Amino acid sequence: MNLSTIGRLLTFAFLFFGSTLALFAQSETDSVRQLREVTVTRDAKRTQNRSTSPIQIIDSEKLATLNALQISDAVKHFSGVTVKDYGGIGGLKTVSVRSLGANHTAVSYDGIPVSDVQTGQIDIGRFSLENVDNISLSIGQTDNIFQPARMFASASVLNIQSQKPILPNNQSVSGKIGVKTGSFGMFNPAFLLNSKVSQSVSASLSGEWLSAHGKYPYMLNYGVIGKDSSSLETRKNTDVKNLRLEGTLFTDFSTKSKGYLKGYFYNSERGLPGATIYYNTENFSSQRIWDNNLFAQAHFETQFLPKLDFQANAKYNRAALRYLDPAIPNSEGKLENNYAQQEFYASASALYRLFDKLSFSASSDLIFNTLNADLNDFAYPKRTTSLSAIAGKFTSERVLATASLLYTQTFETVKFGDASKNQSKFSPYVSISIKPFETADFRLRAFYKNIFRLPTFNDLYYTQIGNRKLKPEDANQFNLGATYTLSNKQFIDFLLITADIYHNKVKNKIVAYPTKNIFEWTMLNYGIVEINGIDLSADAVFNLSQKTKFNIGGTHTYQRALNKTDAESRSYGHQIPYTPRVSGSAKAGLQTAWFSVNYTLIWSGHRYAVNQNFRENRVEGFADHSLSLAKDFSLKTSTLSANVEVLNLTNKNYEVVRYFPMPGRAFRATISLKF
Amino acid sequence: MKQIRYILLVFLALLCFSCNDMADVEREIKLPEHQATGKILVLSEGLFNMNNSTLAYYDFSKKELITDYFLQKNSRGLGDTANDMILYGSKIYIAVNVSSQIEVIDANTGLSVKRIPVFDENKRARQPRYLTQKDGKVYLSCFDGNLLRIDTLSLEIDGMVKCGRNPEGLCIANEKIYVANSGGLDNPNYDNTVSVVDIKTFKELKKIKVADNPYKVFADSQGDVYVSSRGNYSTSQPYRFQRIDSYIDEVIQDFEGLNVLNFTVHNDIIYMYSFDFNSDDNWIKTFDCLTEKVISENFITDDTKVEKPYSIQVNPYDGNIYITNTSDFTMTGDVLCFNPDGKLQFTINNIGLNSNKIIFLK
Repeated sequence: MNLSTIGRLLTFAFLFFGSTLALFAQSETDSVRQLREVTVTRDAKRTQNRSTSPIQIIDSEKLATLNALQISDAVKHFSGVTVKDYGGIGGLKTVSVRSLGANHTAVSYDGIPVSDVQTGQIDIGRFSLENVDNISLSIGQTDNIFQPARMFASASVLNIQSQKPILPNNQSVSGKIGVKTGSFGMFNPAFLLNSKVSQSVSASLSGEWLSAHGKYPYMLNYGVIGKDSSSLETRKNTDVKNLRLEGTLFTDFSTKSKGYLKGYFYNSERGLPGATIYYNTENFSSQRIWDNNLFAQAHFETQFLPKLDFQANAKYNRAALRYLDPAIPNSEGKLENNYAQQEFYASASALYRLFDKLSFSASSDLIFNTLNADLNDFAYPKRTTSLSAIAGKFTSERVLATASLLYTQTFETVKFGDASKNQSKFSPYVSISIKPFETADFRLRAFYKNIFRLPTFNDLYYTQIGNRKLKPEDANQFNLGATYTLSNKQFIDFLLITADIYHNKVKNKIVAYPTKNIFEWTMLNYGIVEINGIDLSADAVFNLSQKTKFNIGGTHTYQRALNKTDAESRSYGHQIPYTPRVSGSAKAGLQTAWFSVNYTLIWSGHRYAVNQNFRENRVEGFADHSLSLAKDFSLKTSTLSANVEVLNLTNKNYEVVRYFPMPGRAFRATISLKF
Repeated sequence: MKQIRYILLVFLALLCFSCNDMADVEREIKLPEHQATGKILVLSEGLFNMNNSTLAYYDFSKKELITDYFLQKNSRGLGDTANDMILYGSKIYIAVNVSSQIEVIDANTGLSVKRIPVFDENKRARQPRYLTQKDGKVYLSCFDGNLLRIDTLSLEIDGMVKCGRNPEGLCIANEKIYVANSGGLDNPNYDNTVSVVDIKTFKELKKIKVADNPYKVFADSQGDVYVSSRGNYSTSQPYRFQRIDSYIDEVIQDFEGLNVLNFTVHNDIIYMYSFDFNSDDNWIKTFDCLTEKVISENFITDDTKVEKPYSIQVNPYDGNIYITNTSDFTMTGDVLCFNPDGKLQFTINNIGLNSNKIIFLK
C-alpha cells in the first residue's frame, strides 16, 4: 500500500467518521434548535454555511492547530486547491484553485489585492501567520457586494485578514512576543504591540525576522524509486533572511464612520535552489534573489445616509526584485537582473439598502501599474485598468441570491515596440443559496461566473519569452453544492459539511511553469482545459467534557482537468501537468484544560510533470503527517504559550514539483507571551 | 429529518465516486513493417531540468524497441539534456549538457564503461555540447568556451584549448578542428567566429569570422567546412549558410537565401533543413558539395509532412536519411526514415522527447 492510498483511506475514515456521527446526532438536534453564538468562530461557520459560493475560512483558533508556519501551509487545508511548493522555507509557493492556474487566484491583504503584474503569481510562502486573524478562500466571489470592484475580478480570492487590536478590560497596551526555532537553522522572533492612542484611535505595530540556512538531506533517485540507483544529497543554497514590519492606525471618526491606514515593509534575501540535476547537484544551485516590498493602504467607510453606505480604498505598492545567477557561462560570467514594479490604486464603493431584504452596490476602481527592468530592449510597460461593478443582493431567512456585472477596460503603453491590445470586457456573475427545510440548516447553492485573467507583463514583454499578442485567459465556472451545519452546546459543539460539484472551462489558457529556473518562466499555451471536479469537506468539534474538546475534519478534492486543445495532439484528454486527480487534508485535535495535541495530514494522489500522462512523467503521490503539542501557562496578567511540532513525521522527501524535494522530518518549537 | 440522512449518504457516495481513477497512459508505438537488419540507438534530450534524457534502442531484425535502454541497462538515468553522441570504436560517447557529464557506454551491450564529469577547477559545470573523434581522441566542445580532448584508452580528459564564447558544433578537416562559437548566452551580442585548432599542437590557430550565432559545422571530402548560423532567430537576421576553405581558413562562399538551421554531410551530399520556430515553416533540401549547388529544393518526394524537424542524419550502411520530428517540443516525437529518393520508408513513433541524434549499428 503506497502513501497516497494510506492518505486517502485516512481522509476517508475521517470524513466517514464525521458524517456517521452527524447521522447519529441528528435525532438529538431536532428538539434542540440551533443556537447562534456571536463568536468569531461561529460567524465563520455561519458564513461558510450560508454562502452562495464556496467560501472556506480558517480562523485564528483553527490556524493554531494546523502546524503551519507560512500561509501556504494553512492554504493546503482548503478543499479544491493545489499548492505548488518548490520546497523549503524559501521555496516558491503558489496556489491554484480548481485547476484554473495560480494567475486566477487573487491574494488580498485586509480586503485589498496584493498584485504582481510581472508574474501574476503571488508567492504565498512569504506571508507568515504571525499577526493573522483569519484566512479565507472564496471560489467565485463572496456574498459581500459592498467591496472594491477588484474583488469581483478574479475566479477566486484568498484573503489574509490581519488582527485588529484587541485591548481587553480597557488595557491601554496589549500584545505578544514570541520566538520560533527549529530544524534547518530556523530562527523566527516576532512581536505585536497594540495600543490605545485616544478614545477613538488605536494603533498596532508588528514585526518579525525569519532566518534559516534551510539545508536538508534528501535521497536523489536516478530512475525508478527502489529499483534504480540513488544517492544521499544535501539540499543547498536554501538560506532565507526575511524582515517584515507592519503598522496600522485604526480610527473611529464617529459612530457611523471608521477607517484605517496601514504601512507594510518586507525585505528578503534568498537562495534559489534549482532542480536536483543528476550528477550535478553541487553545482547547480547558486542563484539568488532579493525582494524589497513596500506598500501603504488606507480604508474609509461611512454610513452616509440611513440606507446608503460608502467606502473608499487606496493603495500604493512598490516591489523591487534583484536576481543573480553567478554561474552562467556567458562572457560576463553571471546574469543579473533588476526589476521594479509600482502600483497606484484607488477604489470607491457605495451600498444602497433599497428594502430590508434587497440591496444594491456600485464600485469603481482605477489601477495604474508600471514595470521597469534592466533587460535589453525592455518594453517598460504601463497599464491602466478601470474596473466598474454593479451588484445586487437579496437576503431572506431561506433564500440568499446575488448577481453582479463587472466591466473591465485596460489601456496599455510601452516605450519600445507595440503595446498589447487594450481589452474591454463584461464579466457576469449570478449565485443563489436556498434553505429547503424549515428546521434543518441545510442549504443548496449554485453559482455561475465568467471571468478572465489578463496576460502578465512577463507573458507579454519578457525578452524572448513574452508574446505581445496574447489574449486574456477566459474562465467559465459553474458550481452546484450543498452545505449542512449543526451546532448545539451539548455533545456536538458544531458540525459543518459541504459538498460541491463543479465544471470549469478555460479558453486561451496561458500556462507558465519554470523550465529553466524557478524565477524565469516559459510560456506554454494549452488552449482549452475542461475541468470537472468534486470538493468535499467536513469539520466538527465535540464536547467531551466541560473543558475537553475534540475536533476532527477533512477535505477531499477530485479534479479531472483535461487538455482539450487539439484532438490531434499527443496529450489530448490527458490531465494537465501538476494537477492531481485527488488530493485532500485531514486534521484531528484534542483540547484539554492542561494541554492540546493536534494532528494534521496533507495528501495528494500522483501527478504528471509534463503534458503526457506517461509512466515516466509520473510524480508519485504523497502524505505529509504532522503532530504538535501545546500548553498554555496563565501568569498574573499574561499567558505564556509553548508549542512543539514534528513535521513530516514519515520523513519522506516527497516532491510537489519534480526534482524539487521537500524537506524530511523536521522539528519546531515556539514560545510566546501574550500580555 | 430523514432528508438529512439521505443527504449524508449522498455525501458519502460522492466521496466513494471521487477516488483516484487516473491511470498512466500507455505510449502508443507502432513498429515499422519494414524488413531490415541492424540496430539504431536514438538519443533524446528530454526537457530542461527534468533529468529525462533517454537512449532508445531498436533492433530491426527482431523488431524489438526499448525506449529507456540506458536506464534499463544501467539502473540510472542519463541525466539532463543529453545533447550529442558519437560512435568511436566499440564505444559510444554521450555528451550530457546540463548534468555536465560524458557517458561512455559499450556500443554492443549498452552498459556504462565510465562516466566522465566535466567540471572546471572551481567545480563549475563546463556544459559539454558536441563531440567528434580522430586518432584515438574524442573532442568535445563545452559551453564554457573550451574544447576538451578525451583520450579513448584512459578515458581521461588530457587536453584543453580555449575557443570562443559558448561553442556548439565541431568537425575535423585538414588535421584541424573547426569549432562554431555561438555566444548564445550573450544574446543579443552573439559570437560570430569559428575557431581553428591544430590537432597536433592542440592550439588555436585562428578565428574565422562567420555570420552571427554559428551552430553546426561539417566538412566534405574536398576540405570544405560548411557552417550554419542562426542569427537572432528572426526575420531581421535569418539563418545563414557559409563555406570555409580549410586550406586558407577563410570563408569563401556565402549561400544567400539558403537559410539552413541544421544539416549533415554524407558522401559529399548535404541533407539540410530550415525551421522557423514562430511559424513552423520548414523545408528539407539536398545540396551537392562538389558543384556547390542545391540538388533538390524538396527532398521529400511523397506526401509525407515533417512538421517540426529536430535532427537529420544518414545511415552510413544503406544511405537512408533519418529525420527526427518533435511533437511541440514538449511531447514524444518520431523517427522518420526516407530513402535517398525522398520516399518515406517507415516511421517509429513516440520514440523519445526531442530526439537529436541517431547511431546506426550493423
